[in-house]
Amino acid sequence: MTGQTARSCQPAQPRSPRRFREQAVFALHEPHLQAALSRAADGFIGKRAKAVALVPEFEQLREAGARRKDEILADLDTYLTAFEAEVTRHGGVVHWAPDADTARRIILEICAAANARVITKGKSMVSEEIGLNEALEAAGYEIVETDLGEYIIQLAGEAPSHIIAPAVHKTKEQISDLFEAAHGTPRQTTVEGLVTEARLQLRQKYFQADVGITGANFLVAETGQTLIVTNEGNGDLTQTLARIHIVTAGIERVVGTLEDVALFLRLLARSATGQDSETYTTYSVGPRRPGDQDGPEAFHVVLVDNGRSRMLNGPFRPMLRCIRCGACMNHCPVYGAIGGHAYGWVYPGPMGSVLTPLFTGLDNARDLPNACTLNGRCAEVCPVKIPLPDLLRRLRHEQHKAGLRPALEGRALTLWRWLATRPALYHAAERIQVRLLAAWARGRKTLRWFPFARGWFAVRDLPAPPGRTFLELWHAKRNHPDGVER
Amino acid sequence: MNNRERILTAIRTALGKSGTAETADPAARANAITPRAPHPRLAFSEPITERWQRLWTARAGTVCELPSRDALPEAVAAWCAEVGAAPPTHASGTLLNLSWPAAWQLRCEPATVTTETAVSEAYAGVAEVGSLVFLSAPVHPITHRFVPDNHLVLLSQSRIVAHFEEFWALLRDELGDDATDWRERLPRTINFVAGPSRTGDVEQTIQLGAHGPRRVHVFLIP
Ligand code: SF4
Repeated sequence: MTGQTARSCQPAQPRSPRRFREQAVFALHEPHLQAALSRAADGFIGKRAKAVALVPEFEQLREAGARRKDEILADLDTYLTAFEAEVTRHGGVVHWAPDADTARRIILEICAAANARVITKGKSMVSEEIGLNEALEAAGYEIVETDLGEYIIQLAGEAPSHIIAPAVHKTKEQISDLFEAAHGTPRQTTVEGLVTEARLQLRQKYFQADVGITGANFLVAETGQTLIVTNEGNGDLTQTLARIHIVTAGIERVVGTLEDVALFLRLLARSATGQDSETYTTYSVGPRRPGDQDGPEAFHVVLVDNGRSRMLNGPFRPMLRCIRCGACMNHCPVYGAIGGHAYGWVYPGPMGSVLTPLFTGLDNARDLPNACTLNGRCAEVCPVKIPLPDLLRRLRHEQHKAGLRPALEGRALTLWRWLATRPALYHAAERIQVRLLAAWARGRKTLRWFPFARGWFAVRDLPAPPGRTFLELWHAKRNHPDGVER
Repeated sequence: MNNRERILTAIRTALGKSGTAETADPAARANAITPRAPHPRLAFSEPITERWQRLWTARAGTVCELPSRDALPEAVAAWCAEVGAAPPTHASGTLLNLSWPAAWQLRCEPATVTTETAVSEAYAGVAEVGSLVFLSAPVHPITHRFVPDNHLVLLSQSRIVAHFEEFWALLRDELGDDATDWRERLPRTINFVAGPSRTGDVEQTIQLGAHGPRRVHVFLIP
């Protein structure tokens, strides 16, 4: 292996939402990651903006999407039972998993009953959420991730860092290293060479697979169909060529009709990858029919609750509208600076900062709701208008109520409030502060450190203040509008 | 309580509903699956075939026009010679009735890892996104659309619809009748295909032919 090895971009301990600070600092100092992130952010933001600009109806679509999701969530049990009835009509089996343990157990039982050996997988965030790969590996199955991004991170022994582009943090050189080591083939250094090599490696696996596991972008109550949307075609090869197809999906993935799907597809591709549509959109229901020459012999859908029904009751219900497009993380300055792994669990970025504490416990993810500048860009781009900053603020509040915020923070805020309600004192304090900082800067434009604030300055610079407060400057400017007095 | 009841009860409790899912109002279920006021669509004034072609080629699909389906075998031979592709070995549906060169030994079987070229007929096209639609059936294997390197497709202009909604209306109409709910006849798999397989997973650089066909060429007939 040449160059930087892939594994070097992880802290020594396994990642966890509990160690957000540590992981974030680590990420900020990882040069490969920083290079990959800045390239990705530019690409995603520009492509989405271009695609959305071509659709004058986009705002209307967002409105309709949010409204329709709310309608469905308000009657979720009805939609799910309608979906179940249609799957059953076409010979499929619906399983209900209240939690991650049950979901894993159901899937392990299906694989065992099928005498499976090789299991191929399409991209599925729910399967990450329930820790499926670890369970299947522990049971001795050969697991092959088939989405190219997932395949790359599987070789690297990592988790996805983005819900749409799981290997977005990897550079081409790192991928060359991984492939060279795993395949024992001549080193590929071009994008085309790498993609072709993965294609050839994975082709064999699709045909050998006993079980193919995919996620679902949507479940259609009207028809019992499960949908996958991909650009590579890996999900289709996975579910068509394996003997058994297992679909894993959160209970909130269900929509009513095929017309609803049309609405959400219009929002999804543009928000996720800036395309009019992804390459493949596939609707499937049930096992192969009599006379069919291909397709799976059995079709299972595992509906996963795992905390979702709890979210239905209360202020976080809008989070269940999420169609997992990734736009919020692409537009998040915090995600853009630290990448997905620092968040420590399956879902990164703003949506992850809401979901992780709700799924894994407020206590388990204390820093996530606070890793937000409340700039609001995520809510502006969210295709189903989830008020992400509001939900994050709400989580901070709940943390506070539960006594989960550090005591020092509470005392500092109390002091600040005391000061802020006394304007004369506040301005005096402010004047002292900017003069002190300006003196410390000694004419330099940026401050690189300050006593007692090493931690803060470790990853940031502060522009040196001009020595006077905003109010002072403003008064001066008002008295001398031509700007002579500076 | 089994797992199903546990989840449904948790949902109903969270939503403040009483009773069980089984005793729930059957009208609610019917309502859930009934199309409601139409959702917003993309308005376009471009003729639908033009839009379809423009979007199809923008996604790296290729297309040429043919006068009729009878012209297909010759056009396929010419296309294969031009791009240096192996002639098709797999075909489906009524396309098998055309007069193909005997040497190709065209057959309707699932595609295998060695299948290089397949030829199919699209059920419809959707102008909104520039995609092809295929249904699965015993004479229409799914693998033809995903396994070969080259997928050659016959599409009739008269089968191109403007929006997804018109496609579903067409399908409901063609599958159902007064006596039968169209959903009884719902194909197991419906594939929308918008161009060749692609990936952006290596440094966001778009590369064609990730796992599915590298080339998808459409022969457009009136
Ligand atoms: S929260 Fe909104 S923007 Fe973020 S992934 Fe979900 S749908 Fe997309």
